[in-house]
Amino acid sequence: MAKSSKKSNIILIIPTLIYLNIMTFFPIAYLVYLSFLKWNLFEHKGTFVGLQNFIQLLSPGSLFYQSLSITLLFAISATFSEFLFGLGVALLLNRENIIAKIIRGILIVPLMMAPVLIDMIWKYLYNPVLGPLTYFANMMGIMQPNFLDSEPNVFFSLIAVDIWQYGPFMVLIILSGLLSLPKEQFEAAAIDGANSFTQFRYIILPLLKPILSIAILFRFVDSMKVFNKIYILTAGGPGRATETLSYHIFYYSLGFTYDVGYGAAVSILFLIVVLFMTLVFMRAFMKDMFVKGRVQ
Amino acid sequence: MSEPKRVGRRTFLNYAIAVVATGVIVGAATYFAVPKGEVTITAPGTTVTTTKTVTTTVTGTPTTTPPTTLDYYYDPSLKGTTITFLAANVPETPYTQQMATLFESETGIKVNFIVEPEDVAASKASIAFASKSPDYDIVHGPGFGSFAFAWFYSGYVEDLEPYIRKTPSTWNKNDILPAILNNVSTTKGEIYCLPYGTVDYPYFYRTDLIDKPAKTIDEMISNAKKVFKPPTMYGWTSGGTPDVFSFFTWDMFLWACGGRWFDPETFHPELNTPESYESLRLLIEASKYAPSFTTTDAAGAAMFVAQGTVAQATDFSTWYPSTMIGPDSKVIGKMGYAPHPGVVSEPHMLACITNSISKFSKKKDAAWSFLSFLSSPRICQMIFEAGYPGTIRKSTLDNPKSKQVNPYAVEVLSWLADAKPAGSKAPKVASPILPIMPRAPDFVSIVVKNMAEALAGKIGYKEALDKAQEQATALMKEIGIYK
Repeated sequence: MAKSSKKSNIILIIPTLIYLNIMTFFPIAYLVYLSFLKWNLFEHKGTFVGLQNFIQLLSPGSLFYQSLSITLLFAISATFSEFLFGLGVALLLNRENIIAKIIRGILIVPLMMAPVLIDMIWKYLYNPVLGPLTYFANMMGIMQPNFLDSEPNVFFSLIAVDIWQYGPFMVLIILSGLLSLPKEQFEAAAIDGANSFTQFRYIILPLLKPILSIAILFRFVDSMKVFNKIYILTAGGPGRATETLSYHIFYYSLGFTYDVGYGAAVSILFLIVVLFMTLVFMRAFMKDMFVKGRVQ
Repeated sequence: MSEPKRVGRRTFLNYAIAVVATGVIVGAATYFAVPKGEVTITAPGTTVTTTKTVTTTVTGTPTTTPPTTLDYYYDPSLKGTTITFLAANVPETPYTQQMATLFESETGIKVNFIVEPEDVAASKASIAFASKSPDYDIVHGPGFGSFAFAWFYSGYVEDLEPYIRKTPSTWNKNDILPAILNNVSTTKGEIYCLPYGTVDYPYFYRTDLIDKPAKTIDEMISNAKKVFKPPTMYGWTSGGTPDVFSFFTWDMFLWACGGRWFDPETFHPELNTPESYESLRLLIEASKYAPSFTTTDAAGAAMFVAQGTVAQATDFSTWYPSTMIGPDSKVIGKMGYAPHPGVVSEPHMLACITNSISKFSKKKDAAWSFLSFLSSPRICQMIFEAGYPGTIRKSTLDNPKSKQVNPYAVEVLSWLADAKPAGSKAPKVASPILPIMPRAPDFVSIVVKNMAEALAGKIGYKEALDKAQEQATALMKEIGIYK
């Protein structure tokens, strides 16, 4: 009975394994293969060049470093800003009244909108001639606000869009954590004379740590992959100021020049960087969540 | 605490049927209500109307059999064939689609369109070619032959000369403007693509703010400085995004200064010549009077003009209807146009989407039948009269009816008549919008990225072009065309 049960288990997961192989493992394996080729799509097939693509990428002065630093700067800034926004708004909404419920509902709207649509809307908001934000900037005496075509304005502009789009995600995750916290600890702390800040520091933060860690990790990895905003709002400009790794890969492998071997190599390195940073983060902030292979 | 109410099987089924039925009804209503295959073709200055039938908008009489005097390739055995056309989402495409309906009624050959944004179409075509896929029979190539040449060089698209030879003489290759034919042919006489029109990159200006059109770029900048009062009025605009649009804009400045991208015989880049330096210096100067130059593409520039917030613009001539006289324009009656200002030469641009036949297509004859139809004298005249401000044929330009229908387009295209290639320092020069060389996108990328850094103020214009020169030279050597 046990043997036949095990056999049927294996048979039942075969479709999933096939799907995973086709949709996940094969593309990655093909990507690795491409990264060892010098292949421009204007040629029928590529030439095997071994690690030359990687050597080119990792050599001093390579554009890879510039794009990586821009990506990290954006990801860290955006994630940190969204964390602060999410935590602040979640604490404000952590009450049971009709207004808080309405705002919680409204907050979901950006999450339901197509990302491209959001970026297009903000492109018009930032329009230097017709945009409402330009209008308000003019009212405050800033005649040419240059939201998207000067540094460092372009960074703040992109982060603002990201906060508008994904801040609610942080709010909802943190809020769900707050709502699940045991009330007894707060009551006990209040009795002991702890003020709001002390409660926040010694009760809320430690208890929320697992949820905050997961939320920050999700947003960080997502921010590292930023592409839509760059493509629609800045096209990597001004100059190369916002040429993140995702945009860099797209531009050089499929968007403009067609060097798929180079793009594949950048993708592999990008994957390694993201994996490394995820592991570092998990070791630093999520180590105690995992005990002997079980999630606590 | 009471137990949750359980939904019975019957109730669940009822709800499920109701949801599915609603979905089917809404879907069907949407499908039948939304018009399909609708193309709007208007002549400049007319009210935009939308029709469903071909006969009410296209001049000439469509027939269900080919006309008696055939001026394109036609083979009755091809009836019933369906070809696939990978098209870019550009102003030419609606005309192409409408002509496809007429073509099908005459020949029985159906044309299936896949329309994508320009860069996506180029990308899809390149991927399909690299994998030798027969998915597409005809593809659009951006950059007036630039991509088509690169594809031809790689063995991806057909040489059209043998097809032209088996086409009736009434198709008349000699009627095609020399400036166009020369730019889509190799030195061996191979023709790697065929547009059915070309557009220029004129200069547009507000007649109520500027007395007379600028003849030189310095005059244009001087005008821009005089009227510059942001945010209500900017001095100049053009495409400036760090992709093809800034390249197009810079092309005109470069040719105006007497420069060129490279020597077409030796493929030695000429990006660090005095002419090239001067062109980028002028472009950087002009960009100071533009609204957010580095985030504006050609459509954005046209929009600024139509909104009345820019006094001068250099842009594709196809934007004329919407910016100058279109129903949403705020500057109707206030815009003038003239050739692009020059320095040493008056620059002109050959800009159009081109059509190529895939070498991997299994229906090449049917594909050529459609291409020859599109570029035939009769259809070129028809498309021109329908409002497309471009043509490849002298007969269309010389036709008195063309001058009545679209005097603007006839005038703009006549500017190309005695133009010489860019870099020749002739009084008038005209060259294709993108370089004709293998891996042209790589060359453009090198220039654009370095230029973008200069426009952003990160590096000087000379440094930018010196870097571009070095990288472009390495590229030419890598491709193996550097002599």
